[in-house]
Amino acid sequence: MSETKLEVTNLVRRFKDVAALDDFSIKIEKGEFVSLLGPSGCGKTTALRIIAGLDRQNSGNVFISGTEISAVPANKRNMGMVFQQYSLFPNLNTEENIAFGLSVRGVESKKRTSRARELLELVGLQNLGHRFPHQLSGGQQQRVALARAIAFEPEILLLDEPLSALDAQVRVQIREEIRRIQIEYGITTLFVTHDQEEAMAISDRVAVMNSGRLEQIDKPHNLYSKPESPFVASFVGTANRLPGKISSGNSVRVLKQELSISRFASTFKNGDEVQAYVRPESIRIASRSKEKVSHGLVAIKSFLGPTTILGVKSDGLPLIHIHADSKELRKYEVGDEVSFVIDAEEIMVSPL
Amino acid sequence: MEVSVNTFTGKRILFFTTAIYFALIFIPLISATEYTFKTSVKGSYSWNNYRWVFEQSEFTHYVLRSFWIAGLSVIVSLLILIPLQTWLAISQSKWRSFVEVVSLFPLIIPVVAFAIGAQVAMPLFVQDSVLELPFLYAMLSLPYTYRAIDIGLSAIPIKTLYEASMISGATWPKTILRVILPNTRTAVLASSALGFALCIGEFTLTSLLHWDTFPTWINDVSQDSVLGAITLSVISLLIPIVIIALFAFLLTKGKEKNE
Repeated sequence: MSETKLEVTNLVRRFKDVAALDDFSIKIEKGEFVSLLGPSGCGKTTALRIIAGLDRQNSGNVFISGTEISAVPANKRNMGMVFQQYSLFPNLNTEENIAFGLSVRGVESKKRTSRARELLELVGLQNLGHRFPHQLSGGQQQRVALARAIAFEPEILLLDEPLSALDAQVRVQIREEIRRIQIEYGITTLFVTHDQEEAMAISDRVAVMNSGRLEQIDKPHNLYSKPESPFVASFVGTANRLPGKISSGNSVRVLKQELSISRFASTFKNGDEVQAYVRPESIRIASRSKEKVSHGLVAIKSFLGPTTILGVKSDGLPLIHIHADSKELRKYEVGDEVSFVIDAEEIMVSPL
Repeated sequence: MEVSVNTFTGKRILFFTTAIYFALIFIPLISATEYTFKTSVKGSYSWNNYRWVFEQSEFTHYVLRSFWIAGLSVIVSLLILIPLQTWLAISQSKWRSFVEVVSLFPLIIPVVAFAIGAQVAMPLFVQDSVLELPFLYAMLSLPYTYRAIDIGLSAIPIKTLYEASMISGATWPKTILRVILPNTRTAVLASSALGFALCIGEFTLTSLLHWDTFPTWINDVSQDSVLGAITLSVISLLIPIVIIALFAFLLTKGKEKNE
């Protein structure tokens, strides 16, 4: 049976009249890697800081392995944290930085050094133990920060957008390293990011936040294919928002097609005008002669290597994005006429 | 070319302002020093005044007294300012600007008013002891010591470092000692040097409160021996210069070690 490592219940945090967290709850299993994903200002960093003990909630509780720690100060919570900004201590060299947590816990010098060296090797910086932070690149500094955060074997590892200051290539490299180390050590990890690709790539589960609340927490694939709210549908991945009309029972008429509704069916009546969310890869090019086919003119073509995105302008509709294999879309250029159909078993709708 | 003319004019202005700056500082010093070596015979110089000064038993007594009072003042300053300013910087408190203005009060309030107010406000056991001076000197040097530390704290990402230290398990005092102080060493040393030099030379407040230190002794000496007093003044000017040079040396050593 899985064991709950971190549980947060009904957290509320207000800054003057603004609620940064509004009844936020989450449960994380032991050894799990969960990402808090959301737009800027959604409260994800506030939640992380409250869990770390660096900020205080107005109400709500934080539990570690079933023990409430809401009143425990940050330095007694035994959590490791990697910050967004470079946070290595400038007066200490790499090895001393990694050993800092052990040193303040009174671990003897020999053990500290051996643990610091082991972790330096783990993050691939075994030759840079005597360098000072200003002598390291941004990526190297965040690797050392990661090593420092896990040196004292924390209960939970907290990562507050640790990759946002790095360039794209290093970012991918370090996120893979974070995941490798997390799996190797089995550390329960909470990772804050606003980059959905990052969250989807390395998480066991992703928690999407909006306006201080948890919108949905699920495996990356489920989050993408079965979003439970319009916000999740449009925030995770991209979605074409098309006008639709509830036709009968569980179906909606979008463009010229009748499609099954995946969620919220009970809240609609026949004839209701709705907004349908259709993924760009769920629209495919079709033969002009077929029935129920829609038509438009290619307004934008974005080549992304293996895949291409077409922006298609159709009468009275917002720009429709079609995402498909580059080979399939190669022949279309801006200004060409294109015919397309929605190819999805179910689609999500929301009120207009 | 016009650019080179401008550069030339700029260089000349720079040279003259630098010359005026050094002249204002060093000419009075050099003149006073030369005067202390003069004898009654025109054009002849001797060490007589310095010999006389070092023969006075009070000399060592008052120099040492001023030293320990100034040293204690620096300790009082640092003990108050480092935790206070660190907290203000970390919490990004709205009190920060208020405290900053208050730190300027010693420049605005006349020393007479400050002395009387401070004398009345001090606890009785300190009022009757010379130990009140370190506390008062610490307050008097606030405009300089506060700013020196503030510059140091603003130069590092203090909030992140503090949080990184706390989350690693360090207590508040350990964070101050092992993270904040080492990373603001330059500012703390500069603040200490300024505070020490100011306290060593403080006369008005000490005299108003009827305590005796090196500067008040110089004043006493001047009643009987003007030349002796000038010689002592030159020595008292040299002391802060030596102290600041010593601190500068320590700072350079520290930087070299880090690099």
